[in-house]
Amino acid sequence: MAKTVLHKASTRGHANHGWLDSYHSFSFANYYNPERIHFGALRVLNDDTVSEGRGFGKHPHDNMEIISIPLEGDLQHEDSMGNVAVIKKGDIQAMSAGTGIFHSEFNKHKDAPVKFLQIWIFPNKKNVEPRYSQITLNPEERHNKLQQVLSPAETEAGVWIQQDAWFSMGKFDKDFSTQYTFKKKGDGVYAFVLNGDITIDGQQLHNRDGFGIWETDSVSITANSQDAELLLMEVPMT
Amino acid sequence: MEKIQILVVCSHQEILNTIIRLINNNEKWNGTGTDDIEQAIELFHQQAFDLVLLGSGLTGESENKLRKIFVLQNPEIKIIEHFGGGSGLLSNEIEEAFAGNKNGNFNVIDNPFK
Repeated sequence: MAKTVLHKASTRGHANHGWLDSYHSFSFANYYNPERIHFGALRVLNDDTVSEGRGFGKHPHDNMEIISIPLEGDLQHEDSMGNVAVIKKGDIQAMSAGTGIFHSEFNKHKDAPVKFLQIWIFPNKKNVEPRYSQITLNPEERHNKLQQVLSPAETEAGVWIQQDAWFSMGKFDKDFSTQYTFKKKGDGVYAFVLNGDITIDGQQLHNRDGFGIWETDSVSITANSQDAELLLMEVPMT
Repeated sequence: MEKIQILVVCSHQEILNTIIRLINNNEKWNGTGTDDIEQAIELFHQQAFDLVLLGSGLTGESENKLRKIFVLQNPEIKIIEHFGGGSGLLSNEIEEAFAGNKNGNFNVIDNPFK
């Protein structure tokens, strides 16, 4: 029988630094909850809002797969590999930090905040050469469909990371139903509602709720509101 | 009150500096760092540490060597892998180590990267 864990939006850790308003689904920085450390290889799910023109100055990462998904606004990224890019709403960026990388992330605009998800996944191999990829997603490919946006393979749809993980996103009409079949036996799926109301395997979820499910092979998804949006993250559990 | 003594071994010098700075920003912790395996072993002989953080750039062989030597010398020593390079995970990892939560990191005790 499937096992589940429910993380209501209001139970997330929260830190408001003025320029940064951040909600943490898992322990991060000063938010420490021993019951909320990780979901399999999914270690960090931060829901960040950064003020106009502000951001994270140059800082390091290593041995972590870092995925950024802007939800509103644009993020200016610069890193020690020489990548300079704007990650726009509708894009997804993945950075394999490997042996080590420094980068900065700033709100590109001076007149509106940027809202984005930052997601960290443990890699399945340490000390790889750092790498970076970014793509623009076609929103039509996730209208009443699950669009794969991340995978372990460069040849598959989406960006790719150093871990056997697959991310999918969808935006659904009310009452639309579908099923997600796990790619790999033994994996778990962590669902994060980006907008609206969605039921997954009988569990009703609302905006910014997180729901983890494992020891199963598939999950059923039903949108309970118009334009409900969902991010599914399939990750190894061990 | 005595500070918790933390030894950090990481081959990326800039990241090592960042980790040490972050550790020493906490008044309860004192960090000592090295990017050299043999120096790490020497430091461990010279000083009593409460925790060892293994950072990036260490081979599996080096990590296993350090673990064996450190545990032989001090069976109570806590050894954890630091992920993220001086990131927002650092304080969590240290707290988890002292809470004795082996599942705090993804497979923290046994080296998952063979």
